[in-house]
Amino acid sequence: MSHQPITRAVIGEPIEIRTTITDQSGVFEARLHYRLAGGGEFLSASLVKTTGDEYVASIPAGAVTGDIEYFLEAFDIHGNGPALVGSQPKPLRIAVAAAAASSSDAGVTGSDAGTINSDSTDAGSSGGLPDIGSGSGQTEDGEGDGTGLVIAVVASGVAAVVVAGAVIGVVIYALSQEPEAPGTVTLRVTAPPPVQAPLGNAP
Amino acid sequence: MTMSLRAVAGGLALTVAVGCAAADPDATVTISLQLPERVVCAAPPSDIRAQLFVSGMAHRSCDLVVNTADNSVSGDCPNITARLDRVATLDYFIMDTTAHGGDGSWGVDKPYRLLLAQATKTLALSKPASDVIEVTFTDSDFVAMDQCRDMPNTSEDTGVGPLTVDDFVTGASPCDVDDDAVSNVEEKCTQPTPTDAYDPSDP
Repeated sequence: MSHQPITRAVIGEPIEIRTTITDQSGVFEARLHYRLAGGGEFLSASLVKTTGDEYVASIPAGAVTGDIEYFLEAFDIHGNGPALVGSQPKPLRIAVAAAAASSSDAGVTGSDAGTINSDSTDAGSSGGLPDIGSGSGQTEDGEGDGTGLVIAVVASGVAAVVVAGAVIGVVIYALSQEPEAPGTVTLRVTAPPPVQAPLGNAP
Repeated sequence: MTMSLRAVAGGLALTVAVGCAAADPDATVTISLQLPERVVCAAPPSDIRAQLFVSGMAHRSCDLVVNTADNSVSGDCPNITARLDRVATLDYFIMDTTAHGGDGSWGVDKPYRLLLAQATKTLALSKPASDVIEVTFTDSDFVAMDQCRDMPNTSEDTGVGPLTVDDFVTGASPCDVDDDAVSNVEEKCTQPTPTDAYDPSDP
């Protein structure tokens, strides 16, 4: 099996994988296995013969949301194999880059998010209770209208909500994780007889 | 081969509902009649054996149990590596010790693995939910005579030992070793001298 690895792709665009496969007895099955880089289960697609010994398969655009890992696998008609390019433990990697416009958008969003986080942090730290306890209900300028107490209470509440939200998020994430699928299985086979009695003689 | 019948191809299923109105107007008996691709055989060969091959598990097979009453098959095939979709191929065969060449050049003392039928099924093992996977072959999984594959690769098993596919007619289907367009199993079902199945001049 001969394959020129794909190293770069554009986010949201399908990736065409081509390979050349030759076998004296004939190729029985050839498949592309791919996933988002970093883990998760491999999805698979058949490598379809085009011309000569060339086979092709595509990673659909919807799956190209980040770097992709893939490998190719083929068996001959006798079930021998697999011949591999890459492998499950050591897949090939495609660096998937976003288009220029979307990169800019992402930067703006990140900046906004940072601002929000910064404000939240500030609110939490400025609402320290020691200020409340140490004060007499008056601010330094002597107006004494209780605003500081209100701010402290609100800020503490916000901090509590943020912490609670984070904890709930972690719990939900943990509960949503499926148990890892078994690595080996036992096939429990049932099958009909290879021949059948004449209809008139059926028991 | 007029006495052998091949049922209509395809998995046409007929469902006949028979009402028992007199006894109970709501009671019905449903009969599912699956028209198989199996060969109709009044006298099936005895000692049918079954062997399962799984793609990617080269040079490994599982012997399954054949029910002597009806020749149905069951059994386990353990330690199949999961995480990838695989193809299971089920061979029904007999070890025929009565084989002889059309020219009588070799005798009856060479056992031959005579393939009677073959069924295939794609197994979704990329993410198995359990470590035991039920695999149920049906009539529609039987492959056509000219699509049978030499799973144990006897065509390369030259030299001493069991006879090979190519000892009969080079390039013939393993399901029709004498390449006379009548399957091995049909000839075994209808001929009192089944070794004639291997004589290209005597279809």
